Amino acid sequence: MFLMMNNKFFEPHQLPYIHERLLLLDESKYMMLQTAGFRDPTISLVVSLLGGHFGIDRFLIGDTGLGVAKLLTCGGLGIWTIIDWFMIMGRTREVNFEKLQQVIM
Amino acid sequence: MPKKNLYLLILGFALAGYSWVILNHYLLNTNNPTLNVCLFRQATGIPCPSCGTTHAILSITKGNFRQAMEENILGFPVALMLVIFPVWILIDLIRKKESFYQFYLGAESFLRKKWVAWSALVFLLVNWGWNIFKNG
Repeated sequence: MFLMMNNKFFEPHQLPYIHERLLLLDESKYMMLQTAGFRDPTISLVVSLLGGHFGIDRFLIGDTGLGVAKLLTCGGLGIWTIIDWFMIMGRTREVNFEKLQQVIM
Repeated sequence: MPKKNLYLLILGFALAGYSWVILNHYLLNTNNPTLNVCLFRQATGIPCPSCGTTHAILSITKGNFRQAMEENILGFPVALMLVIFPVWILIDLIRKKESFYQFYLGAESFLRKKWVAWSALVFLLVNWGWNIFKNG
């Protein structure tokens, strides 16, 4: 059920591993997982398109250090801004996976 | 982010940063000194919060601190980072330690504190307003 509702937050190749781990999960951790607050990659993309120049997309997904770097360099002279339009969805899924691992470990 | 990736990324940034500053140093002595790469400025005509940082860093290298403050105060932290971070990382790599990585993680969690984030935001907005006013 969790995977059906949340599969868009993760990379497809991570889903079998997550499925296996979820089967072994106890009830209390399952509840924690429901409230973990995963980031939607599509929202990240929209934020990246609108505010990526100021690093807001990086702040949103929790990469604060890189957000500051992006902000202080005019979005990496504009180049990083454009690269992130393509990278941010993958990075968001990666961050979500890291968060999931922290909860289930 | 894993330590190795972070170190490589920051060393890459530092290299790009130094190349950019040196390029601008030579361009400023030519007849066509304007190199406007800021996407936001080109799209809207308004300078972004960090526009003027390169000029500020060049002023700092010449010892003109007052002029650097007028161009963009953010030039000071960026110049400090450009000087300190690569050296720190190289020392870490030689001594096989991870003091910079620990510092980075600490700085990230410090910046995530509500009062720090809000203060930084207010400061950036004021600085941005001033940047727009100066260039208006």
